[in-house]
Amino acid sequence: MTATDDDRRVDTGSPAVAELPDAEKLPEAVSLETEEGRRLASQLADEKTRHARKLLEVRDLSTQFFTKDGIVHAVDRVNFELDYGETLGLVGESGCGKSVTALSLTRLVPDPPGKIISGEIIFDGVDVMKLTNEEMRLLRGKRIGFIFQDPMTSLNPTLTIGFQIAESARLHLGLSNRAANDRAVELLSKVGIPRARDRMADYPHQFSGGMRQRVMIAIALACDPMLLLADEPTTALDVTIQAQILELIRSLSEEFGTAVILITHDLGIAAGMCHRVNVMYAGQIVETGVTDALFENPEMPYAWGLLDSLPRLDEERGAKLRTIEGMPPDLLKIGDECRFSPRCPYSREICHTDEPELTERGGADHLARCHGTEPGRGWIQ
Amino acid sequence: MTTYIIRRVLWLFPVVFIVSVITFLLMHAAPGTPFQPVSDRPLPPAVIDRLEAQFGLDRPIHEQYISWVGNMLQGDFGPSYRIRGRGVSEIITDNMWASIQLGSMAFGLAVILGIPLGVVAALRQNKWPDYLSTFISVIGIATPSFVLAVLLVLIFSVSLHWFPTSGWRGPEYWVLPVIALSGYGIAQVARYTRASMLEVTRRDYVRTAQSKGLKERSIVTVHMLRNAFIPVVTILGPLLAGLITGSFVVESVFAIPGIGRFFVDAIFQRDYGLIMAVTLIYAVLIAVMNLVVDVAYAWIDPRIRYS
Amino acid sequence: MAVQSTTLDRKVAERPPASLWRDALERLLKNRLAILGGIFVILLVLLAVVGPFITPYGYSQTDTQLIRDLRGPANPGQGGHLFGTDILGRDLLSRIMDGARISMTVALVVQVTVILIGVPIGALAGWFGGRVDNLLMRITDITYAFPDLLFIILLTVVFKDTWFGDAMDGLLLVFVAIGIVSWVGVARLVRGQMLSLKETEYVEAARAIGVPDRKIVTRHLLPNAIGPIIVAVTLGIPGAILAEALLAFIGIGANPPRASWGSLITDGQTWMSSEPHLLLFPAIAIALALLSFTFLGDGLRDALDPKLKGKQ
Repeated sequence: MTATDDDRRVDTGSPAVAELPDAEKLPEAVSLETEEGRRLASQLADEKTRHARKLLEVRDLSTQFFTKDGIVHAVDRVNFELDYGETLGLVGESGCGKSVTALSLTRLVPDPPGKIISGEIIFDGVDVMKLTNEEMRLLRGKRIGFIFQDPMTSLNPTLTIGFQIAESARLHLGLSNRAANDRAVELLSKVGIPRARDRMADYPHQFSGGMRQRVMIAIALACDPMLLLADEPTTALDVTIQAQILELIRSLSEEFGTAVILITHDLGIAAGMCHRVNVMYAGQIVETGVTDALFENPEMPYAWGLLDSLPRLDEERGAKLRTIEGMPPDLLKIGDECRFSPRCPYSREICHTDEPELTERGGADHLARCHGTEPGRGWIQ
Repeated sequence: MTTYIIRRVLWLFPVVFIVSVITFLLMHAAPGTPFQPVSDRPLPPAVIDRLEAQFGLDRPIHEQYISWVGNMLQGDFGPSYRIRGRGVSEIITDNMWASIQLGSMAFGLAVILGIPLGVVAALRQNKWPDYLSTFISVIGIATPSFVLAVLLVLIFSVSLHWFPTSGWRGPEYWVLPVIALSGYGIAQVARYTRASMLEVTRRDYVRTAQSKGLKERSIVTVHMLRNAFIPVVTILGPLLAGLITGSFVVESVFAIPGIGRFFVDAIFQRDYGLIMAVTLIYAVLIAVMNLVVDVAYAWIDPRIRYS
Repeated sequence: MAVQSTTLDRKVAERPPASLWRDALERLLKNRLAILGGIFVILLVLLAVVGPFITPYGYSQTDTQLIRDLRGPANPGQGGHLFGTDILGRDLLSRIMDGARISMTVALVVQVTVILIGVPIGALAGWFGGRVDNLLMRITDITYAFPDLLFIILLTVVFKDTWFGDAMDGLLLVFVAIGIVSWVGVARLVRGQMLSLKETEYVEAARAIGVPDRKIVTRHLLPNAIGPIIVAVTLGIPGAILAEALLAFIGIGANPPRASWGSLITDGQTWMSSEPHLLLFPAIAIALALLSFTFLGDGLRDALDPKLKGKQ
C-alpha cells in the first residue's frame, strides 16, 4: 500500500482528481439518520485507515499578500498533518496566520492580493495545488466544510436558511429538490434547531446568533465532508452559547468521523476539544503536540506566556493580570531571527540572528521552535 | 403588507388635495390672468372683465376652488382658457399618451441597459466591460438631455438620415428621443448597480457561498444580485419621477405632441384649467410610483416588513 | 515562570493612530478620479470668484465692429477671442466664465437651502419619531409629489418683479426655488441616520449621564451624519446645475445679458451648423463641471464609507 501512496505523490502530470478514492461511488441520497448511512460512512473511514495515509498533509505552505506597502508574510513554511477523524487545534493571537492557513487549504485566499506562493497540500491523497479551479470547486462543500467566525454576516440575508442548506446537497450530491430539503430538515434538527421543518422558510435575521451558527454548521456538514474547518466558531457568541456550539461540533464530528481543524485564540477551547494542537505565531507554527502533553509541558516561551496569562481561580484577588509585553511583529518585515525574540524574556543573541527550527522535544510528537529549550544546547529550564 | 398598501393609498388623497390647494393658490397669486398674461399686448380692461365673468374667474377664490373640485370629481376638468374651444380633458387625453410612452420607454431602457452594464462592470472590474460601462456612464452624466438630443439629431437625423428629426408617428420616431431622455438614467443606474455589486462582492456570505463550492454563475445570480438590487431600487423612484417631469425638453426638441410641452406653455400663459389638471395627474403618478418602489423594496429585502 | 518586562525599546509594530477623517482623507487621495474631479472643482470655484477680474472682456461687452468686419460671429482665435464670439460680438470665453460663476452659485445656494431645510426636518423627524415624524414625513411627501418644474416656474413668476425676484439678475429666486423642491433627499437621509443612531449604546450612555436631548442630537448624532450629508450634497450639485440649465432652456433664469451655461447652450443650438463653437464650448464646460462633481462625490462616498474603516 505504501508503494501506491508514493506513486500517487509522484508528479505524473495527470490530473490529480483521477486519484480520488472510492467515496465517489457513494449512492446518491445518503441519509445520515439511517443505520445504513452511518455504516457506509464508517466503512469509508475504515477503508481509508487501511490505506495508512493521513487525511491532510501540509508541507511548507507559504501564503503571502502583495500590498502597496510591501509583502505580508501571512503564512510562512507551515507543516502539519491531520488524521482522519482527528480534531486539530490551531491556536494563536489575532494576525498569527491561522485563518489564512485555513483559507489556503481550500484555496479561498482572495487573489489579489493574496497568493499561495509555495507548498504542498495533499488532501485525501489529492494534490490540492494541482487541481484546476473547477476541480477545486467540486472539493469544496462536498469534502471540506467551512464554518466562519461571524454568523451574523456569513449567511445570505435574502435567502431562506432552508435554501442555503439544501443548496450544497443539491449541487454536490445530486439530490432532487424534495430530497435536498428533507436532508436540510434532518440537518437542522441534528444541529439542535427545534421545529426544523417549520423554520426552513425562515430568513437568517429571524434567528439569534447562536442559532445562526448552528445553521452554519448544518450548511458545512450538508454533504458529510471529511474535513471541517471551523474558524473561531464561537468568538462572536455569548459565553453560555459557546459551550453548546462546541459540544455540537464535537459530537457531530465524532458521530460522522469528520476531521476538524479548530481555529481559536482561546486556549481553554483548544484544550477541551482537540486531540492535538498547533500553536502559531507570526505566520509560523512555533509548537505542536498532543494536547495534554503540550499543556502540561509547553516547551516554548510564547506558549508559557499564553498559559500564564490565563487568570487562575486560586490567585489572589487584586493581583495584576499577567500579559506578554509588546506586540506581534510587523509581517512586512521578516528577518532572519526568532520572531518572538523581541518579546521574549529569555532571549539571547542567537535568538536575534538565527531563526530556530521546529525540533523534537522528547519524541516525534512534540515539536517546538526555540533555541532556548533545544535539548542539549538550550539554556532555559 | 396589504394594510400598509391600503394605508399608503389612503394617504394619497390628503396629499394630492393639499398639492392642489397650494397649486391653486400659487397660480392665482401670480400676476396676470389667462386672458392677460403679462407678456401679451394689453387688452382693454372691459374685455378682460367680460371674459373673466364668462368663465367665472371673478368669483372669490375659495368658491372657484370648490367648484373646480366638484367638477373634477365628476370628470370634468373644464375648458382650456388659452386654447379656445377645447376642453382640458380633451387636450390631456390627446397628448398624455405620447408622454407616458416616452417616459416609460426611457425608464425601461435605463433599467434594461443600466443594470447589466453595472453588474458586468463590477464583475470584470478594471477590464474592458468596466471601461465601457464607465464610458457610457460618463457620457450620460455629462450631457444634459437637451444637448444629447441636439447632438443625436445632428448626427443620426441630419447627417446620416437614419431617423426622423421630429414627430411621434411610429417606432422609428421613438429611438432618438428615448435615448436622449434616458441617457442620464442609464448612467445613474449603471453606476449605482456597479457600486452596489462591488460592495456585495466583499460580503462574508459571498465567501460562504464560495466555500460551499458553488459555481460562479450561481453565486452571482442567486446570492449576489438580489442583495445588490436593494439599494438600486431606491433610486428608481426619483428616476421615474424625474423622467416624467423632465420630458418636456425632449418633447420640445423633437416636436413630440406630449403633455410636457403643453404644461410649460400653460404655466406661462396662465391656463389655469390645464395647470390644475396636469399637476394633479403628475402628483398622483409620482405618489403611486413611490408606493410601487417602496413595495418592491420590501419584496426584495426580507428584513423589511412594514407594520 | 513569571514573565518580566523585556527589551521593549525595540519598536515592533508602528502604526499611527487612525481617526475617521484621516482615514477618509487617505482613501480619498488614493482615488485618482476623485482627485481629478476635486482639482477641477477648485478651479471652477476660483474661476467663479476671480473670473470677472481676469477676463479680457466683460461678458456683456459687445463688439459690433468686429462682427461687421467678419460678417458674422468670430470663430475661435479670431480677433483676440480665444473661444470666439457670438453674433453680438460678445467674447465667448468671458461669457463661459460668467456662466461658471452662475453655476457655482447655483451649487452653493441650492445646497445651502437644502441643508437649511432638510437637515432640521430630517433630524426632528428621526429623533422624535411618532406623530412628529408622521407629520414631517407627510410634508415631505407633499413636497415630493409636486412637479418640481411647475413650482419653480410658478415661484419665479409670482415673485418676478419684486426685490427678491431681481436679486442677482433673477438668479437668486431660481436657486432658492430649486432648493425648495430638492431638500427631500437630504431630509430622508438625515432621518434615516437619526433612526439608526438613536438606538446605539453610546446614545443610551449619554442619556444615562443626563445629557439633554438637544445636545445629544447636535454633539453626537449630527456629526456622525455629516459624512453622508457631505456626499449627498456633493452628488446633488450636478442635479442643481442641470436644473438650472433646463430652466434656461425654457427661458427662466438669468436675465440677459447674463449668460448661464444653460442659456449659452440654448442659444448656441440655433447656430449649430454654422458656428458650432457657440454650442460646443459651453457644452464642454457644463460636462466637465458635472463630471468633476460626480467623481468627487463618488470618491467622498467611498472614502467615508464606515464599513471600510480600518480595512484595506
